[in-house]
Amino acid sequence: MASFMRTIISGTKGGALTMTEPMDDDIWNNALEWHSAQQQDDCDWDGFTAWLEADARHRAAFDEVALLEDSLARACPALQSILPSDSDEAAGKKSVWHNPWAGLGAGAAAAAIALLAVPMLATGGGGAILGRGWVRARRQLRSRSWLFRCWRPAEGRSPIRLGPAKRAASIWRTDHMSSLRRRAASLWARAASVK
Amino acid sequence: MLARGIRDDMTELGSGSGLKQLYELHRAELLRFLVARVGEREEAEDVVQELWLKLGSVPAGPIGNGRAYLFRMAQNLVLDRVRERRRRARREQQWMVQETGVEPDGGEVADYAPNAEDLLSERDEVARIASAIANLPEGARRTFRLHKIDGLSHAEVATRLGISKSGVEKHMAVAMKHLRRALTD
Repeated sequence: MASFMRTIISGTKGGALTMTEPMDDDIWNNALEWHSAQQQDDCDWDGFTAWLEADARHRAAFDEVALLEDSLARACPALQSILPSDSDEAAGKKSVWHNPWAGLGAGAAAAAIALLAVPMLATGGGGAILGRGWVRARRQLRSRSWLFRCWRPAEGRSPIRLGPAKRAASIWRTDHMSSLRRRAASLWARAASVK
Repeated sequence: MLARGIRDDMTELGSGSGLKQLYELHRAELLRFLVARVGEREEAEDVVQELWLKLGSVPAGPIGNGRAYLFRMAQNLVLDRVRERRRRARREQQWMVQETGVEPDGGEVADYAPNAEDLLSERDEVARIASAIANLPEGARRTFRLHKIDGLSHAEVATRLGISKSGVEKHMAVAMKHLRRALTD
């Protein structure tokens, strides 16, 4: 039975709790089945209760499945416009997965980061200005969300490929931004100490 | 059919007294379910109390299986709590990210509106889901698309793709496993 370590992020009454627990595939698959059974009228609620009582990990697995299903339901309208239809795939059309324009999304994202980062580093007058400048720029970037538009295809146009979209999105993610900012700040500190 | 009155298999009306009588009948089972579901008795009792209060606002209408209806309501109340915990955990995580960076001025952090952050999380989530789907093997990708996005049943997907129903289930299991990893890694 395959199992692997994974991180479960769950909440407690006192706040967020992160813990690492083994979660095996069988538990996950059972949770999926129970979730699916609950979409029907004849769900065996006593059986579900017994399953939950058998192992505390079952509860966590079910929560995880339910949250994943929530995420999918929320993403569904966007996915409908991003992903190729099944008839497109079946027809073997040149689909979003093989679009030569694909690199543009990631390229634009990288260029945007560079454009932001260079003025940050060039800013004189101390770390506080660097920090504030970055925060302002980051907020602007977020509010306009044009990085997001770089990879999100406009309706009616041929969609861009998703592989680079993944890269663009990951560059765009907050934690990457934050690490880039930290790197910029450490470069600034080094430059200041040389002076 | 309405003359059958308040029974487990056919509750006359969804509103008020019918469900409340059923609630009284099944309260112990509901509480047992909730203790198993949330993991602690105190919270289970909170939920069962919340369920009782909600019963007053259930719109009138025939309900096929009153007992199952109560379990489903209880389940939905728990899921609301689980979702709220996730939202809170995400907000705290985002605040942590902002505060552990080189934040020169603490005042800047408060400028971020929680709603905008939630929206960003959702966009990030869509990007992750889309790329996870893009990386699925063809069978799992097409099955996922037809079942989850286009809303076809397992049987309809099986017919469309010319595979068995168990084939559809296997493809879906693969797809969900990939998505789970994409969203938790």
